[in-house]
Amino acid sequence: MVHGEIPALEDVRAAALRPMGPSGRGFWVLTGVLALLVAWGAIGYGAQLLWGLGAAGYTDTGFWGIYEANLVAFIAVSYGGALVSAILRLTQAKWRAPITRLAEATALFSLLVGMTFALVHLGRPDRVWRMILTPQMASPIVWDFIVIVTYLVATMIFLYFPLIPDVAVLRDRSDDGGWRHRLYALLACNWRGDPEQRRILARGTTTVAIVIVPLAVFVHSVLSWAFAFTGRPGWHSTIFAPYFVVGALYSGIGMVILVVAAFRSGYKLHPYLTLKHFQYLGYLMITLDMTYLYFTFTELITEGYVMNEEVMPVLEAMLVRQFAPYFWFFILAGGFLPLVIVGLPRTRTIRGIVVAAALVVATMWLKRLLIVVPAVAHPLITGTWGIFQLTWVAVAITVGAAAAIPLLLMVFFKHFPILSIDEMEEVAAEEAHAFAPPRQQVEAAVHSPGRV
Amino acid sequence: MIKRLAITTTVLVLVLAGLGSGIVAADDLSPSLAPELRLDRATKTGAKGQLALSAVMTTSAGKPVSDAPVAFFQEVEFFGARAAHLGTAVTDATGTAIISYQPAQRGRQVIRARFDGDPRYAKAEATATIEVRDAVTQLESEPLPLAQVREWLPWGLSAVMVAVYAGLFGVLVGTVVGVRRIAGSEGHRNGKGTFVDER
Repeated sequence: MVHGEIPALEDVRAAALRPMGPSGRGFWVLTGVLALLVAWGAIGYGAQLLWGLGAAGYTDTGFWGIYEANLVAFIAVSYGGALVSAILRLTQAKWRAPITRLAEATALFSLLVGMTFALVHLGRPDRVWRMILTPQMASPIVWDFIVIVTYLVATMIFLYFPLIPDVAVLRDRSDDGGWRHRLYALLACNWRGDPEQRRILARGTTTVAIVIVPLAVFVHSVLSWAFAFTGRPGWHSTIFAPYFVVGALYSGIGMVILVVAAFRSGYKLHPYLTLKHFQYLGYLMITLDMTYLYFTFTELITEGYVMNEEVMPVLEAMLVRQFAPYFWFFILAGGFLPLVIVGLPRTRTIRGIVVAAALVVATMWLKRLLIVVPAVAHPLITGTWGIFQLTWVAVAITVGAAAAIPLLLMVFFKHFPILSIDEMEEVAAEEAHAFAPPRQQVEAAVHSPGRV
Repeated sequence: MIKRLAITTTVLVLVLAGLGSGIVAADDLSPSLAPELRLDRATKTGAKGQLALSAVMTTSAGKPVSDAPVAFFQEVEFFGARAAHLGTAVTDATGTAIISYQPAQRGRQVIRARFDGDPRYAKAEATATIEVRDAVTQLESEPLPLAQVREWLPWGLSAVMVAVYAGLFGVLVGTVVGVRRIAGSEGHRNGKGTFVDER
């Protein structure tokens, strides 16, 4: 919140609980559209189960493609949400308060949707239980499964802990004994706002925030090892682990910006999600943009300078041949354009930053596709390049998954506050205390309701 | 003169014949000593799956025969019955010839020891059957240190994940129980689930 503009507590609560009230036509239309897209994705998956992975464009020479890129991309955007919330929480950045709930929920639902692609890209999903009963421990795919599930558990806990005080507010407001009240009562854990309760909750939240940052780094490192631990030219690179982590952060911040902008607009949260929030997120995004460009340059120049005869065909294909248009589009639209938009004061507006974020999310998905497809298509036995073609099945499943994230968020915020009431009240109280006249500060301290 | 010539010629022929016979006889003549060759029981050496095959050669009087090359063979079926050469050793002062033998298969094997004879002694052979219980059936090399890391790395990563799980659930349970306990000690829930502060 900007200094001098401290929203009234009741206004904060009203805004946070606004999505839970009666919804307008726009909400239902949007929900319907998203649900239709998800249904289309489900139909596509049904078609794939019926006709096989060939219906999704997979071939013997193009055995990995869009689903693997989606797996990485969707889990990557989850990391941005976790990072924004965790690191800003650990550094006690006050401007985080209106964003954390959106960021944490985005992290959880992106991860849930992204995980499904591990099943979608299986030709025989009925055999997935074997990975639990008889796992091949030497396989990075099994490590993926283990770390992603661990990260999911951590993300759920990380969303739940700060939600406890807000759920207590909902519990006290819904005193009708219905299922919602019972749910809120269960989740609220008898929360009363005592200093001791706050201390315990703060300790738990901080612990999970500390754990989730290296855990997410580990998740994306292991994701990268599914590629790097093969001998395939274009994949077998030592830079893949940090490359994937930085890419995850980059696209994740972009996703947080998009989600914040969308819900700000949809639920009229303008007083709480201001230009400053977007600018700070924008600065984070372009910092990661430059880091990602640096990693991309380093990887390409290392391989290109040595000109290893195994790697050169993949490099040529990506830089000057069949995949070149897509690669350079990514460099321009996903690398330099966001830098320019956020860097120039004239375009550093909410709209400009949102446009930059949209470019980042879209082009980083394209970049994941460029990581997967050229290396797979490169022939190691025959001299013929493989082909991966987009089909309606793959597009439907991808679009359906992308639509599932905002749909899940909208459903979630129908039942839980969209803003972190407790954090915002805490920050507002601190700022009111900091900027109040000295006499009022003493009175506030004497009459404080036990706030830590 | 003719008589003298005939006598000389006869003596010469006899001498030559005698020499020739001697030479022929020397080739054809069996040595006067026929040795006895026996195979001792195979013994294990320090190396895994390796045996020591020993054969002892003595004279009929029991005196050891030294410096005699003894060849060892294994009777195998390889497009017919064949003798696979295992090795050759020279008998020492005790008349013993020893070779190291590393069987590639378990089971019963027929071993043959053979002395091909020399000017002193005649040929000799001995056959014995051994029961191989411990055979090196494949080549094994010492694993590289990094290979062992690769073998243990997945389990190490899994152990880290288990520890993380334990930590996460510990934090969750500890926080939830702690928050509930604080509230429970100073109040109660009414019938609608609303907390009633009794302080």
